[in-house]
Parts: sequence; C-alpha cells; structure tokens
Amino acid sequence: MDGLKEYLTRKDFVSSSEVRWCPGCGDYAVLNAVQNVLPQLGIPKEKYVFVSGIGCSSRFPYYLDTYGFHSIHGRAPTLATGIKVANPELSVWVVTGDGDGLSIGGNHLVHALRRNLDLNIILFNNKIYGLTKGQYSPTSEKGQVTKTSPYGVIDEPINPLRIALASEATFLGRVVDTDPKHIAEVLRAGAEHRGATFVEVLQTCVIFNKKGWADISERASREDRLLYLEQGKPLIFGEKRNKGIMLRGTNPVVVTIGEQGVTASDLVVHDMYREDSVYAAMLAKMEYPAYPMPVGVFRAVKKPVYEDELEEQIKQVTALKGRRNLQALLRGSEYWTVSGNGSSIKRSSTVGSPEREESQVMDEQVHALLKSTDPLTASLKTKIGRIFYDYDYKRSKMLSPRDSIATAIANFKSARLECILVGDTKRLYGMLSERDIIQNVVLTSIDRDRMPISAIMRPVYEIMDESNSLGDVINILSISGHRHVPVRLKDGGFGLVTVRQILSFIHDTVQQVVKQEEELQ
Amino acid sequence: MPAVRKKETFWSEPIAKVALQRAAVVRSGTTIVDAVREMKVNQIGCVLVVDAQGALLGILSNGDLLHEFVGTTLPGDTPVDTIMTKNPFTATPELNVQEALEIFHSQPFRHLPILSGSTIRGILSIRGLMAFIGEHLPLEVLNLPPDSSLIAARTSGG
Repeated sequence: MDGLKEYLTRKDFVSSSEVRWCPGCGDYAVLNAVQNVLPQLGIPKEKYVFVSGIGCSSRFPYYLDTYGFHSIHGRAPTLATGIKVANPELSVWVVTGDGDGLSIGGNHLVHALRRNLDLNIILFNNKIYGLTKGQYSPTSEKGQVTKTSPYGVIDEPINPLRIALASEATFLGRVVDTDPKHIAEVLRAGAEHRGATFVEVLQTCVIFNKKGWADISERASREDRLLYLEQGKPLIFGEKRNKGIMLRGTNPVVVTIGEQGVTASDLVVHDMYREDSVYAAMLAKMEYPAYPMPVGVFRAVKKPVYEDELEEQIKQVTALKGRRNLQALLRGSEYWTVSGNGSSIKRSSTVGSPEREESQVMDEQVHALLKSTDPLTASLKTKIGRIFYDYDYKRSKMLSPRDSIATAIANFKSARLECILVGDTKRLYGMLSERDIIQNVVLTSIDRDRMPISAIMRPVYEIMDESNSLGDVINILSISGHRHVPVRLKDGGFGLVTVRQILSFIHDTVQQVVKQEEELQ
Repeated sequence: MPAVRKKETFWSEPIAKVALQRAAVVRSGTTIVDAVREMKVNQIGCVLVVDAQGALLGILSNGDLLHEFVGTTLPGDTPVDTIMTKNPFTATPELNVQEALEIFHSQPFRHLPILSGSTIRGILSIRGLMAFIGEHLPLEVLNLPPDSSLIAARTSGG
C-alpha cells in the first residue's frame, strides 16, 4: 500500500527446510524466539547472516530464511569475523553449542569476543554432544554418566559465561529454553548492543541429557530456582518474591526478606552497565543449588568495536600512502615461477631481500647487546676456571660420605673452612656447610663420632663446569640461595666457587677500571 | 647503529635499596642453644645480641659457633655473651653498594648489621649484595641460557 512501510514478519524468516531436530528439543524454543526478534530489529532481510559450526544447534541456518553458512566445526566465529569485517553493514549471528563453541572452537570463540566485533553469538548449552549421540562435553557436570563416561565425568566443567567474561565480552546474557518470551527479550537486547554479544541458552537435549537442566527450568519450580536479572532492581527471587541476594563481605548470600531484619533495601541492586567485570563474574559463578541460577542480561558495556577501528585505520593509512596494488603485494620483493610441468623453477627478486636485511639487523642488535662496553659487565663472561685458580689457592676439602661428623668438625676447625664437599674424585654426593653442622650438632643430640656425614649433608643439585662464566654462577647462586656452588675440575675432582670469590673478582675488576680511568685523566 | 650500553650506575645506590634480611635478635644472657634455635627459625646464619634497651651488643655467627663452641667444654646453656663478637662492625642504610663491596672484600665476616641510630634495620649478607649486583645486570646474568656457551650467535625464527 502506498505511503505505508511494509513490515517484515516472523513468516519471512521461516525456511521451507524440514527440521531435523528431535521433537521436544530445546533448540526449537530458540529458533522461534529468533524468528520473533528478527522482524522487530528493522534490518532488511538480506542483511542477516547466520553462521554455525557443527552440531545439532549448528543446523540452525537451514531453518531460517536468511543468508547463512553451516561451516567448519568450531570455526563459526572466524567465518563470522571475516564476514563482519568485509561487510560491516550486515547483522551477523553465530550459532554454536557447548562442544562446538567451547571445545573444538574454544580458541576461536575467545578471540572473536576479545576483538569486540559487533556479532551476536548464541551458545546452546545442553551439556552433551547430541549430534554424535551422547558423548560428554566441556560443560558436562562432574559425575554425569554418558556414553564416553560410563562411570561418571571426572573433568571439571567449563562455565561458558566465565569464559566469555574472561574474553572481555561486552554483552553477556543467559536464558532458559523453557521461557521463550525471556529468550526473545534478551536476544533483542543483545542484537541492539553494539559489540560482541554472548548469550548462553540453558537448553535440554531430550534424548541424551533429558535431566540436564530439569532442576531449574521446569515451570513448577522455576520461580524459586531462577533469579531474573532486571536493570536497577534488587536481586529478588522466589515464588513469593521474598528471597534475595545480599553481600556479606565479598560473598553473595541468599536471604529472606523479613527475616533477621533483612529488607529489600539490603539486597544487591542489579547494574549491568558496570565497567569492571567483578560483579558479572560473581553472578556467573552463582549456580543452583547453592544459589538461584541468574538469567537475563549480566553485562552490557560500551567499548570500541573492531570493524569501526579497522575501517578508521584503513582510511588513515590510505590517506597517507594511497591505495596499494594487491599484485605487487603478492609478488613482493622475491618470488618463484614454476613452469607448467614443474621442470623449471625461476627465482625473481627486486632490489635486496627485506627479510634477510631484517634478520641481519636483528643479529647486529643482539651482538651489540652482548658486547658490553662496560668493563664490569664484560668481565662477567670470564670463565670460572680462571677465577677458581686466581682466588682459591687451596683445593676444596672433600670428605667421604662415610666419614664421621666429628671428622668434618675437625676439618672445619683446623682449616677454617666454610663448606666441605662430600664425595670422591668421580662423584659428588653432597655438601656440608657450617650451618648444617651447627643446626644438627647444637640442636640435636646426635653421636658425632658414629653418625656419618651423609646423614646431615645437603644434596647437590647443581654442578658447574670450569667453562661456565661468572655470570652463570651468579645466576645459579641467586636462584639457589646458597653461598657455594661445586665446580667439576678439568683435571678431575671437584672444587667450590664461593660468593666471596665472586665479590673479590668484581671488586678487583672495579678497582682496575677506576685505576685506568684515573690514568687516562 | 649498535646500541652502546650506559655505564652502570648502581654502585652509588644506598644499600637501603638492597633487600636486607630480617635479623634474628636475642637478649643478652640468652643461652647458646636458644640463640641457634632463633637462627634456625629465621633461616639466617647469624644472630644479633642486644641489651634490655635493644642496643646492639654483639653478633654470633655459624663460624663463631663452630670455632668457639662446638668441640669445647662449654655447656649449651652458656650465655651467648661468652662467645659472641662484641661491638661488631655495623653500617647505616646510607652506605652505598660500592662501599659495601669494599667492606666485604676487606673483612672476614659475611653478615653486616644495618642500623639507623640504635634501631636495627636488618642484615646485609654477602650473598644479598651479590644478588643485588646480579639483578642490575639482567642481560649478562639473569636472562641468559643456563650455560653461556648456549647463547645464540644468530637470531632465528620469524
């Protein structure tokens, strides 16, 4: 009729494909809700694209009369990203499930969300792989018996909303498949949100996980077990609307209004616009039966949208550098031409090879970093073999693990040692420090004449070589918290490098530098 | 153009910036066994001995214990005062890193009590000083392969 705008109706979005979902499947409720919402959004029909992966829910695009892709397992978010970036004017929807979205495509979901493309992602969570006939999924509950977990699942389940929140999703919602009106409300709010929308549908698989959500989704008990989130309103639930959520410290607790002086004003007031994700994370962690299961919009915050930023960047760079030639980019500075039968390969190259130049530049940078101009830092490359002979004239004392503690004490006292090695020329068993002696001899009543050193020595976890650098030793001692590290000597046997030797070397190096500087002046 | 590293400036840093160890402290008259227990609890190789007002009187190290107590006829309930080093070498938090290096180089001890006036701030250990120097040289000491012979001569990957 002239002058009157023609409205799309639900019928415009119903396809003629036979629906292959089992009768009673929760997927129907979502399909119906989506077909209800799409005409209300004021978007022309040809601008809608539905992308799915693999699974029961991923058959979704067939049943909508819009453009769509039934794509690769888990990869719906990547296709959707490409579609949206290339055609920002489209309304792009992703339909996925707990297996497709959180297992096979877990990685892709995370990145689509963190980029904050203006996508609408619906994740059907039935806690089972339905299409492949009943294997347990990433959201299956502990103890759930499935075909692949005949004795119960032992994996910890994933919480989809927490994953989405950790991926910085800007719109988070949750609905149950038994409340189609609420599904439509949340999906509509999500579709109107600019940015990545993530809606989890608690959906029942009537064949393989019939009881999956029965506790909370059944009409009879829903009011007492679901918490409907409403912006600006207190968190109230229950058939009598007399229960609520209060914060005690940082913990949410369930309270009854009218009991123990609790009034409605004590309850937490829902705020989905909170910038920080702490509150939404708290809601997402609340699960039945410890809490009522929250449903509704958890979070809706504004952040820059990926495709806008990309478009802006392209505009700026094009203004600066002009439009570039794709052929030139593909050919680059170096390319090969392979003859039809593969008998000849010709390499073509323009001036220089940027790749090689870059690696040369990197090598030069690394060498410059390692080639210190500071005399002290340069000296840290000195081999410890040299330090060992310059700063320790005495070979380190070594005793057998069978020697008595009394023998060790006598050696400590006569040679004024700080540490004794325990072993033989071939093998080092341990080390013994003054501290090991004192703490065992003074605080316990061991028989020092009969008890062998092996009973109180400290095992050796790190043996250096003479070819190691001083820097290596400082590194090892900094980590171990010890003052000595054993060194395997080139001509057999073992020695000790001590912190005191290292500091003496550093001290002498610094003195030499100071002296040289003075001479120069 | 190769980057030239600046000359290290940490030498003039006050040792207050070095992570000092918390001191084990006992009152004058404490028995040797109790003093050793205090060292064990605090996981430190020395104990400070103070008077009733908290003023430092002496220091007792594992070395002192080994040479002056173990193998002698002294009983375990002997007061620490008998074998401690009286009027020990101390320093203030203003001491700089280079001066601390000089002290540890020329003195035989491994623990240096740090005092502001008569208040004990902590213990600067010879190992703590080494670790501090190491932390200032991440490129040469900390962020390298476990064996410097494994340092790559060329960068790789892309």
